[in-house]
Amino acid sequence: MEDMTPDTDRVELVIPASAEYVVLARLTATGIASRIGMSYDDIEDLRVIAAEVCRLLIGDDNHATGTVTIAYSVNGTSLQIEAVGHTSPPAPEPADDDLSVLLLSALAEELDVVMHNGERRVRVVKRLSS
Amino acid sequence: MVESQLTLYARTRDPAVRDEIVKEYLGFAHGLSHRYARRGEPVEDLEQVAAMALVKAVDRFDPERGVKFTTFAAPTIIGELKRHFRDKGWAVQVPRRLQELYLELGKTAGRLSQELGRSPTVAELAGVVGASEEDVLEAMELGQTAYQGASLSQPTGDGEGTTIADRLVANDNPVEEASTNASLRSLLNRLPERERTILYLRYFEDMTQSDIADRVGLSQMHVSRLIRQSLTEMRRAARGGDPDSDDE
Repeated sequence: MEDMTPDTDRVELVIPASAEYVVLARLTATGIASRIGMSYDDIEDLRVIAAEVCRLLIGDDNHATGTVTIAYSVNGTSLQIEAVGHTSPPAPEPADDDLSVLLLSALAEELDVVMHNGERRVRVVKRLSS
Repeated sequence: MVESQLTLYARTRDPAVRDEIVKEYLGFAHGLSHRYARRGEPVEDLEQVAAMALVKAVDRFDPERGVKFTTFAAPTIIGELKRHFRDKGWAVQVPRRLQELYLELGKTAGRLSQELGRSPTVAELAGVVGASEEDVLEAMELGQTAYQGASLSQPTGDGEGTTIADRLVANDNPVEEASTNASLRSLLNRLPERERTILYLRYFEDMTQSDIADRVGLSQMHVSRLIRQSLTEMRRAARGGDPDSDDE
C-alpha cells in the first residue's frame, strides 16, 4: 500500500440543495472510501463528514434553493471532499461553535470554510488512519 | 454568564455550579448525539452518552487556556459517542446486519412483487423490513460486492487477525492451491450468488450448516451438498480447469 501511485482520482456529484439528497453525498463518500481501503471507523467518520459538509451549505431548514457540487478527490491515502453551494441565498458563515464545524474539526484532518465569488465553499480532508 | 460559571466551577468545584453548566450545555451535547443517531440505536442512549461526556468535559475544562468551552467539549463528546458504537461491536454488527438485511430483502422483494404485481420500490422495501432506504441501498450493494470483494481479506473478528481467505484455505482445506486472496476471490466469483452467500456464511460468519439452511430457506442436506459442490468446483477451477479464466 505504501507505494500507491500519487495519482488522484476525482468523482463529482451535483445534487439539489435539499436535505433528502444528502444521502447520495454520503453513499458516494463511503463507496469511494471503501475503494481505497479505509477502515470501518474511518468510513463511519466519513458518513458524518459528508453529511455535515452538505449541511453547512444547505442548512437545517432547507430554505436555500439551487444545487451543491461535491467533488471527491482520492489518492492512495486520503480523501478530499470539496463542496460548493450554488445556492440563493449563499450559505452564511458558520459560527465557530456551529455543530457541523465542531464535528468536522473533530473528524477530519483539514477543514476550510470560505466564501468565493459569492459562493460558500467547504473543503475537508480525511486521511487513512494507519 | 455561562463563561463566568465555568470560571467559578474551575475555582470552587461546586457540584451545584457544575449542574447549572451541564444544564446549559445539554442541548449542545444532545445535538451532537443526534448526528450519530441511526440504525436503531436508541436516541436516549446516545443522549445519555453525550451527557456523561459533557460532565467529563466540564470537569476537565480549564478556562485559563482561552479556548471556547464548546470547542473543547466537542471532541470529548464525539469521542465518547464513537467509543459507544465501538464498544457495542458496531464494526462487526453493522456489516452483519446489512448482510442479514440483504438476504431478507431478497425474500421480501419476492413476496412484495407477488402482492403488488410489480417489483417493489426501495422505499416500500425499507418500510416492510423496517430499515432506512440508505441501509437498503447499502445492503443491495453489499450483496453484489461483499461476498466476492474486499471482504475476503477482512478480519473475521476472531481477534487473531484471521481473514476470510485464511479460513477458506485452512478450515476444510478446500482450496489450498489458491495461494492469494485475489485468486480465491476470482474462484468465489465464479460461483452462483446463492452458493457464494452460503460459503460466506459458513466461513466468514462461522454459522453452522443448519443455521445457514434456516437463513437461506433450504434443507441442511441441501446446504451441505451445495458447500461440497462449491468447494469441489473451486478446487477444480484453482487447478486451472476453467477455460474462461478471470481477467483480473
